[in-house]
Amino acid sequence: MSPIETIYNEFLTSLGLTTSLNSQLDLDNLVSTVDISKLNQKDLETSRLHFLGKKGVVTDLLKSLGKLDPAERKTFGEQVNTLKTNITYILDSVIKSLKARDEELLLAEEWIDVTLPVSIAAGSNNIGHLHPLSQVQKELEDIFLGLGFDVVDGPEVETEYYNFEALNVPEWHPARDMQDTIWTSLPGTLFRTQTSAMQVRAMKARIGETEDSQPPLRIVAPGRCFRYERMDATHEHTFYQMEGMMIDKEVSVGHLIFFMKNLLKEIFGFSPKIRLRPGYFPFVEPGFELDIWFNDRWLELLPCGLVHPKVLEHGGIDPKKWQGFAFGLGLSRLVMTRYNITDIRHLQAGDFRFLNQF
Amino acid sequence: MKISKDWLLDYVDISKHNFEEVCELITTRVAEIEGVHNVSTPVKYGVVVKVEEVKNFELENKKNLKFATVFDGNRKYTLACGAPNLEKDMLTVLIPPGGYVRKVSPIKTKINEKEELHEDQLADVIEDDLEQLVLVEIKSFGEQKSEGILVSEAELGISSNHDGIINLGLLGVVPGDKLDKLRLYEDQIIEIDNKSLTHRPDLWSHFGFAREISAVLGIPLKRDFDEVILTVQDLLNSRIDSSNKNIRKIEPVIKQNEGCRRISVLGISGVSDCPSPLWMKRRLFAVGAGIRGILVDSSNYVLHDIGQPNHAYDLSLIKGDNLIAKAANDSESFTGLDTVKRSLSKQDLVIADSESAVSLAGIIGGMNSSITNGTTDIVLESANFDPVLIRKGCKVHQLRTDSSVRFEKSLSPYQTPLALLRYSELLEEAGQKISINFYADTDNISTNKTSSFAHYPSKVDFSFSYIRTRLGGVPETDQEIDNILTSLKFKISKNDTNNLTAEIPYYRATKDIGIEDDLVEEVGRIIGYERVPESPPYILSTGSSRTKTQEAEIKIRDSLSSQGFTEVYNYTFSSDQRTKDLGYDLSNAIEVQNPVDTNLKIVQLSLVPNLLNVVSNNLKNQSLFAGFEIGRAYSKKTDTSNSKSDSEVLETRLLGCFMTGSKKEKLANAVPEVKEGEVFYSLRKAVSRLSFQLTGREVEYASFDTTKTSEVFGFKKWMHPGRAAKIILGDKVIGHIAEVRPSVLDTQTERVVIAEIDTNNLISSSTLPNSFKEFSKYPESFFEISIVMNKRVEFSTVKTFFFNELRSTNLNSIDPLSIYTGAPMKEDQKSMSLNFTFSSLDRTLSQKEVNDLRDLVMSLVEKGGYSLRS
Repeated sequence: MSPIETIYNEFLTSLGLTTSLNSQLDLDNLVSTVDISKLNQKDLETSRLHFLGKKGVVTDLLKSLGKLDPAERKTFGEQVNTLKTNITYILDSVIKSLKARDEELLLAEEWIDVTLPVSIAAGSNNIGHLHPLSQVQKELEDIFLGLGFDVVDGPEVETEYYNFEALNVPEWHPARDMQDTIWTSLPGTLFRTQTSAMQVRAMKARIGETEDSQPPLRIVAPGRCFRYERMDATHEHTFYQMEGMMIDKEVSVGHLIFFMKNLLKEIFGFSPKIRLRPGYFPFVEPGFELDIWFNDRWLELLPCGLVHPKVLEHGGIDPKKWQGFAFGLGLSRLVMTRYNITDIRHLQAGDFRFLNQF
Repeated sequence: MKISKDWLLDYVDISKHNFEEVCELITTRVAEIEGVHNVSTPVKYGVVVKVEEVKNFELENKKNLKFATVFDGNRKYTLACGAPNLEKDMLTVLIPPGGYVRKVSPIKTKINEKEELHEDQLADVIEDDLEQLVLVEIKSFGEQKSEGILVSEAELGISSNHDGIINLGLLGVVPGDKLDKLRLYEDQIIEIDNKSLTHRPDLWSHFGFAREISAVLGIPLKRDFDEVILTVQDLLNSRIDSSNKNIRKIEPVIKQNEGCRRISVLGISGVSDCPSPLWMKRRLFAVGAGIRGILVDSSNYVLHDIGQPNHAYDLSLIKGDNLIAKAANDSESFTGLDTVKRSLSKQDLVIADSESAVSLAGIIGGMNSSITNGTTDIVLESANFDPVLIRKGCKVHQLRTDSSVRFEKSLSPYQTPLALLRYSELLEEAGQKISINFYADTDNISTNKTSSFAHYPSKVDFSFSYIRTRLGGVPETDQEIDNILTSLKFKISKNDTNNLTAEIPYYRATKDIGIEDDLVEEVGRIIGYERVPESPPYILSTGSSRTKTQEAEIKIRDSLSSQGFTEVYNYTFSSDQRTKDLGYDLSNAIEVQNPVDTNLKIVQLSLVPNLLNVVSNNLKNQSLFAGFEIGRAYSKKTDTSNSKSDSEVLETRLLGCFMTGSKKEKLANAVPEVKEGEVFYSLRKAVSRLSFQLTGREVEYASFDTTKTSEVFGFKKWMHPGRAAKIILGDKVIGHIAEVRPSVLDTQTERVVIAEIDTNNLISSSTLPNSFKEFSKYPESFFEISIVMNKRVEFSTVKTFFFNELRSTNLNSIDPLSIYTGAPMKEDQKSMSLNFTFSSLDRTLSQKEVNDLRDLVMSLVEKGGYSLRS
């Protein structure tokens, strides 16, 4: 018997296996035949030292290689290495099984009666905190409820239709570049890039043939949006918006300006100086960027505009009879501005040192 | 996109206007300006000098340095110069002491012009990139004084060339001339936000911006190409030099109508590809274009000048007599001017000669036909392509160019010959002795062969009143609306007062303008939206509301935060491997096609995997905390047959909450069982409270069949099998709660319990009314009994057993009082003291009745498989 066979047999015996030198079993099958009930982790670590340690028997074999002539050295070296790999693999696998077994033993030990009524003091000794996004979102919703808007809600995993086509952005439209999209593997299904995806959904949900189901329609749709972004302090692939839309008769830019001024007064607690300038969004016509005068300069705050007739048509509304305006508020941005948060990544990091400040 | 003020001045004289105000007007009337940069072009300090003498200068560490004497027509300067091309008698540019030169730094080139919109990002700080100018001072080299600097093109801001000093050789200047003789002026660059030009193919050029500025400021264009757009063809034809009969003519052919709308070509001979004039270089450099020789530079110049991409081929390298727009052959190999070899397919549109593709249409020209030093005859191609085809091509080949960016916006096919005209003008301006040999076009306006223009609307009907209504009552007069539209080159014709037609200018008809509402925007932006009077919208106040789900989520937030839980927001994406390891079946998981993070490849099936990350991250900083997340999970719908929804995606609204607790610190006075399960019971209590607050009903808990793992709220691998329970409301499992296996979190010191609930179940259940149940006005009767049972018998089993057996009695409740293990009971036994409470609605129970009930209970103990504690 070669020294390699001797050592391998010694190793297998230590695991309680009868020598299976000629066994055709592969290593995983071999491991599965080990009876771990008689083994413990400590013994196996000792065994590891004995075979593979600095002064272990396998290491000794490796050291002896130098004395062999080159041809022999190669074959023998490969064999020793295989031995070493096998022993390491078997030991690791058995120890893993042992750990799992020990956990199972512990878990079996630790039974509690999940149905037992117990009287217990307060659930948690901490003060609870709501996420700043939840707080700001609710505040805004309350403002809009007061202005006669319904708060609606829609899927974050959205169809291409509602996110793009219904909004007058057909496939291959350059405006799709404005929003790098994250797609699911399902055809035509994506992570919504904007809460504007709710515009046509909301119209379709409300508008029908009957008198009752005609506009006016006033909604806000808050929620999570996604874009393919590399993350840094000001870029997140997951962020929050609130879409607002009002559809009524004879809606004009003048109405939009009045409404936005009053809304911003509610949000900021004062009336900021605003300006509208042309902004391109395919689902509004005309489209604007609304800037506010803040810290001595114009700050781009939100996009808005009159709802594009095609979008109304997609929602089943006759643009000859009804018009509307729409706007998009960046909730993440508002939260960051309000609380002086300079790194957007905090919002989703789940770190209690951040969350417990709100 | 970059617009040079100096360049704009060619077309519209804004020199008398305050430039800041002009920029302000561009922002509020036309498109967003991201920034205005002063270009550091210190041309005003420069003076033309002649080198009169060059001397070698021996200094230890400055071997290459020479001393030159230069003359500016007035006086002589002696100065040190290291330029390799310094020569006696050359004309060059001196910046004397007191002037400035541009600090030459490593060249930064922007390769890809990428449009980006970060809507939710804090407004960018406007950068002022005024590159540093360096003051020129008198320097001493030993005894020698150096008075000023002879400059390179880079030091003057003309190009990035810093190989040597400028040689003004044959440019017709004399010593003493200032640099404005060479059309070199100070400049400012307006950086336009590309996204605000997505719908405006006409604004991707200097002439386009000049045209808008002219309309906004009400000042005329100095040169108006629109006036000649229909006669350019005639003009080109008239300039053909028919004397040269030996030149081969190239005829353009469109084989694939889908992608190509027009090709115009011009044959020019007698060209030579020398360096471009300094002013042209400077402008190209300022707008970020590369600089090569005059033949390519002019092509780029025309692109930035009028917005029409065009391409010059070496005529001698074009095989056959045609330039053909057609589909590429499958696997055709094509090497672009960027030296990248690409494999084409039938989806690609190319311009080909008789043998192979000579350019990837609208995107990039080919190496095989490109201009070289020896080029003498060129054929210039100016074409119009379908924007969708260009976008597809860019995506397939991962390449965007100044040309493709413009084509994908849908350029007007009217302007192709204009590019040919401008190109030939530029060569002539640069002093090239060219002759135009042929002009050929697939469209011909004079013969009415104009197929390519039929794609677009030419007119839009409108009324003054519609525009005025949309703009809240302004402009007050029809005349003003008429004037504005006319200034924007719409041709208004009146059918009657309230029924008009606007002929759309050619450059805006391809996409931007098509409906009446587009005219509302045109008028609105030109008058300025500040003129629109604000007015309150008429709102008929009706009850507005949130959705039930949103209401419920607010209640959940209130309940849990008041119970000491902190809200977290997690991502919707999750790791497939981790999710699988935690025991979730991935077969219905939705994959992310282009994950933002390679570890986050699927849409979450449960909030638990990401919540576990939150827990383990926070455990690094603290040990005791409680939190929750309201989130959504998505999976593929398994049964779409009876679904009305248009989506194959199933959305689940979930609440996940978690709580940690130390294994060491136990509740001081609790019974052993409670001590053991402190964290579990604490979280369970929070869940019970929450559920009651939402539904008005109490949830129940039941242990799992740990082999049933496939149900949504079944047993999962992450759970501790002895500390896991289903959460049940009525007869429905609405969630689960369990301690997390130690190995999952790799923590030995803390216990972590997680609950997950489908919040939609909390909402739909809440619609069920709770009816009042009468209680007894008489004192209750109770007694206590201790029974012994196997340690792992659950209280709920005991309770259910007795309630069933005592159905016909006045049993009110059974409550556990204490649990005891240890001697004299066996190792696997426990004793449970139970309090039985009875009451009748109409009387107080007599002592005998109570005694009988007690006897009855005791007699039942054995039937239940328990024994009485002695």
